[in-house]
This record gives sequence, structure tokens and C-alpha cells, in this order.
Amino acid sequence: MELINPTSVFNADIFSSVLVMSQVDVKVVLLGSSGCGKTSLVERFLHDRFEERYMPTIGAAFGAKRVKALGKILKLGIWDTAGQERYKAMSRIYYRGAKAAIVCYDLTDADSFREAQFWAQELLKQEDACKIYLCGTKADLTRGPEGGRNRRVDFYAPTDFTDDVNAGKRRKPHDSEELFQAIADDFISNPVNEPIVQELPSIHVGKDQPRPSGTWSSVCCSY
Amino acid sequence: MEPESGKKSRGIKVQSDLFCKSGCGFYGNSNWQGYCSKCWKDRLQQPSKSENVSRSPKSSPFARHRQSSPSGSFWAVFSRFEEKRSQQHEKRTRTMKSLFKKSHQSPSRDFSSVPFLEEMLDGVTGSSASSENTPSSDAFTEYLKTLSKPIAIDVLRHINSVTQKMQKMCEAGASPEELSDTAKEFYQSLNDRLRNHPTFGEATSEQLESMMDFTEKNVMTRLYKSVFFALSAQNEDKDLEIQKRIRSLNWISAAHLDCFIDELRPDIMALIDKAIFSAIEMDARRAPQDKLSCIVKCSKNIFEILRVSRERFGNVEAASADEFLPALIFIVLRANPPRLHSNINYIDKFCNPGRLLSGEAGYYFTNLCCAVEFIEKMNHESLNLTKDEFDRFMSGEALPPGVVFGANLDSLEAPWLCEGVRIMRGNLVTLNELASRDTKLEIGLDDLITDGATFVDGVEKMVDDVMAGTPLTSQPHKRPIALDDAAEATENLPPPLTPQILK
Repeated sequence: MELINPTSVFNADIFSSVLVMSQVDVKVVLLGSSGCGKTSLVERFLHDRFEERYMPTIGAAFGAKRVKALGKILKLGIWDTAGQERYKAMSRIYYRGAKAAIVCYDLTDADSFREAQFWAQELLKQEDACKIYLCGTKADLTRGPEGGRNRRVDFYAPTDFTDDVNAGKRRKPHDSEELFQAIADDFISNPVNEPIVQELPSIHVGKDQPRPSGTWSSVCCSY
Repeated sequence: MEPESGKKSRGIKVQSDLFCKSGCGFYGNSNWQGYCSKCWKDRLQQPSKSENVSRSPKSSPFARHRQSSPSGSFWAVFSRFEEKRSQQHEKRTRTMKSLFKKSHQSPSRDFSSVPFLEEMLDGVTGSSASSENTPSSDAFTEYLKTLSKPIAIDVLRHINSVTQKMQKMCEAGASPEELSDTAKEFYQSLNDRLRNHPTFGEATSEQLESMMDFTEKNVMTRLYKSVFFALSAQNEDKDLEIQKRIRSLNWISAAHLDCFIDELRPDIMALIDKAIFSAIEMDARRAPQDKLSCIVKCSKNIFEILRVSRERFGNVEAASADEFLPALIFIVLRANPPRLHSNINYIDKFCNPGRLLSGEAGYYFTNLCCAVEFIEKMNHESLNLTKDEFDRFMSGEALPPGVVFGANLDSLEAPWLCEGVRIMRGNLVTLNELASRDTKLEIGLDDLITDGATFVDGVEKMVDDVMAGTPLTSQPHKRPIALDDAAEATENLPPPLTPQILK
């Protein structure tokens, strides 16, 4: 995985356009086979703790919310995508210009993990600037004395997969809120995003070395 | 030589000035604009003709006059539209040039001078109002008035210069891509300017954003005709192709797309119609963000459809993209919006790019793009049909079983019908119902008549019965007894009882 050269990103349309909006918008796409719990993730995100709500509950396909991260305020826009097989070919239209992607799989469904792998690979090929978050859902079904039997995706499968494609770090946020918080934090602290972050009142400079663009954060979240 | 009715001062003028302007050899009169009485009369009788003849930059007073009442002269404007537009463009260019000159000459000009601003406003909104008949320009004027004057003037200057530039590019036959680049460059440069220029120092970010909005709207509304025609010329083939494709896909029902919309319910049908209306309305809008807002409206209606449909199954969860995209495809298939490709291209090329890559409108727009791509690439696999079935349905040889022989044949409201036939069928059902009620009424009426007859008969019978039971016996008439008359009976009474007649 090559390091991203910040100047090469500058001339991308995405950056100039983000500048146009006074608010920093982060586009987050949500991928995953149908029925693996993407919708609940969005609903959780929109309605849990934060009192501020942008959209009435008419649909859970799109949601936007302000998130505080490292002293800045980001506006996360969550784009749900249709997960059915027949719409697979179109997903690349969705993740154009996305800054982060949450790839969901159902812990109780082995097929959904295979799908997730496909999407992750695809994202890696198409979108350089996009960070990928693997997210196993329905963890509650895998807990308890009976839970182990429901689990269809091996505990180490996601880790092995991320190792295969140049691993990042593995984190364990336990609910959707932490997941979105992590996305916001990563976005702010990623030096590639610095020109955008500068738009914010006080500048936070990235903490360490530039990270590879397609950094893997394997995330297991449950709710 | 004295003029017939001229003032003394005109005596100084050279002789040629005194003659009729038309050159007929008679003397002219200043009251008749220098014509002689005959020529003046002729001129008055053919005002339209002369106006046409003298159509040149000189006649701009005419154009200006018409501008002041755009609504009244709409048809006149329409008939000479092209001619007028180029003429106005010329005029606008000149006005703007002079304005620029003015402003350069006096940089320290007092910006609070109202006439200057008003003049510029006229330059922007007046010309667009008459030639484009847009309602947006009024809102724009109102909006500019809320801004402080230096800002308003600066924005106007930019708008005017980019509009002229793009107009010229259009006339020079520039490709839509070049125009798009110019527009995007303009958005970017204006944005930079708004952010960095000291004039705008005190404006808040919300103000700046709404200013970008209004600017985009105004510029694109004014350029719509030239830009969109260039685009639709380029996309004409694709537009027609997808229109034909959607027409040949008219047999697709909601069930084929895995979306559970009960098209037969009246309330859902009304919502579907609303969504379809918004999808079609998109073509009628000019500014990119207005087109986008049509898409948003359509999407909101689709969510409403999904919500109502789900309520029936007791499902109160909000709809996700898994349901939304199929429903959107379904609506696009039903609506068959005109010039779909041109519109999508237009939004893509001339909308402020920030709008499309984030935010709600951008999301729905992306979904629409997906829907269009799906419709174009749709094959038997994406509908879970065999190839043979799909081909037969496409060629119109056969119709899907669910459509024709469905359980709802009796309802006469099959979903594949067009609007007119659907209404006709709806009316037929109503008529049938009316007819059956009418029959019922007739039967009821007959019943009532029979009931009435039996009632009368019954009453008659009862009366007869009673009459028969109590026969009429005539009794002798009773005579009143005259007590005071001397009656024979009293005379026969024994002596103590003999009535005494008192006198």
C-alpha cells in the first residue's frame, strides 16, 4: 500500500468542494448485505444520546449529525446503500468521494462476511482516500451460554483478513456511538485531511506519521 | 422662412431642419416629432411596422419600455424571442461595461448611493425577468436588499461577469464540459473571495452559504436556456433511449423489484402520484438546486409510501436503503421523467459540487443516478426471471402473470395501466357501483310500491271487515220532547201528579 501524497489529493475535486461548504462534512458510506443490520446502526447513531437531530424519522437511509471530535465539530453524513445482490454493481456510485466506509457483516451469517470482504476489496481498489471500518453486528446473539452456537463468523476471521490486506489496528468499540466517534477522531487526526481540518476554528495537527490511506481498522461492535 | 407653428428660437436653425423628417418636401412640426402632418399620421397608423423597420440598438427605448411590463407583453416577447434575447444581451453588455467603467473611475465611490445599486439590480434582474420570466429573480432582488451594499454590489459584479462569459462561450459553441469547468471555477473563486475578501469580513458563514446559494441559482437560471440546450443536444440520443427503455419496461410491477408497495390502495396510489409528479417536475425547474429539491421531494414521498405500506404489516421501523432504492427505481419507471439524462448531467455539471458529495440532496441524487443505471443495465437476472421470460415481456409478446391474471382482476385497477386508463377504470368501477345501487333502488322502489298497495288493500279489507261486523242499522229519528206542551200522557196521570201549568 503506497503512502498517500497530500499534494496529489489536493487537486481532487472532493477537497475543493468540501471547502465550499462552511461546515466540514464527512461522507460515510454504509455497505453490507441486506438484512445485516445496517439500518439499526444508522437509527442508533441518529437517535441515541445526542439531542440534536437533523432529520425526522421518515427514513433511515440517510442521516446527518454533528459529532465532536478532539475539540472540533464534524458533520457526519451517513449514506446507507442497498445491500441486495442485484444492486451490487451500483455501489461504486455511492462511495465516490467517501471519507470513511463502514462495512457491515452479520456475525451469525458466514455469507455476509464473504460479502463484506468483497466490498472491502472493492473499496480498497476504488477509493484511496476512504478509510474502511469492518463492523460485525448482532453480537448480542453470540453471547450467553447458547450464543456460541449462533456465531458463524470465526472470531479470528476478520483479523486474518485485515492482516492479509495490510493490517491496521484492531479496536473494540462496543456500540455504534463509539464507532462513529472513532470515525470522527480518525478523520480529524489524519494528516491527509489537514487542509480541511484547518477550516475549523482551531487547528489540530495530526499526531504521528502519515498513515497509509487504506488503513484498516477492524472494529467489532455490538448493540 | 418661418415655420408654420414653431417657436421663434427655431428660426435660427438651418433650413433642412424645418422640413419633414421623412423627406417628403413639406415642412415638419416639432409637435409631430419633426414630421409633416401627413407623414406623422401615416407613422401613427403603422406603429408596429415602423418599430420592426427601425429595430436596431437605437430602438432600445422600445425594449426598455417593454421590459418594464414583462407580463403584459409576454406573447410579443415570445414571438420574437431569439431576436430579442440577442438584442438584450447586447444591451446588457453595454450597460455592464459602462458600470464597470464608472466603478473603476471612482473607487472611493460612496456605496451607499442607492441609485447605483438599483441600476445594477435592474441590469441583473430586469433582463432576466423579461427574457426568462423567472420567479427567482424577485427573491434574489429581495435577498440582495438584505445585504450590506458593498457586498451586494461585489456579488452582482461577479455574477454579471460570469454570466456574460458563459453566454459568450455558449454562443461560440463551447462544449458542456468547458462550461461546467467555468461554472465550477466560478463557484470556487467566488467562495474564496467571500472568505478572504475584507469586504465580507463581517458576514457569518450562514450568510455566505446562502449567498452562494442565491448566486448559483441566479447565474444558472439566467444561463439555463443556452446551457441546457447545449446539454440536451449532446444527450438527446441517451434521453430518447432511456425513455424508450422505460416504456418497454412498463410491465414491471413493484413485486419484481422486491419492494412491497401495495399499488391498489387508494392512499398509496395518491402518494405514488405525488412522487411521480415531483420526478417529472424536475425537468421544469431551471436552477440545479431547484431540480435537486424536486428529487428530494420525490424521495420524501417515497419514504412516506414505504412507511404507509409497512404500517399495514405492523412494521414501524424506518425504511432503509434496501427498500428505498427499489422503490425509487419503481417510481422512475412509472414516471418516465422527460430528458432524464440531460437533467442528471446538468445537475452533475452545474451544481455546486459540495452539494452533491455530501448532504441529503446529494444522497438522493446519487440514488437517482443508481436507479437510472440499474434501469439501463437491467436484465433477466436482476429481476429473477428467466431470459426467455424477460425477452418476451420486453417485446410485449407476453405480460407477467402477476399483472394480468392476478387476483385483482376484478378490481379493474391493475398497476401497469397508464394514468388515463387507470382513472377510466376507476370511474368504471364507480359507475358499476352506481348501477348496482340504482338497481337496488329500483327494486326497493318496486317493493315500496307493492308494500303501499298491500297496505291500502289491507286497510280496505280491515275497514270492510269492520263494516261487515257492525252492519248499519238505521234508527228512528228521536224527537225532542217539548216538556212544556200539554201532552196527552200528562193528562192521563193521576191527580196528584198532574202537572200544574204556571202562568
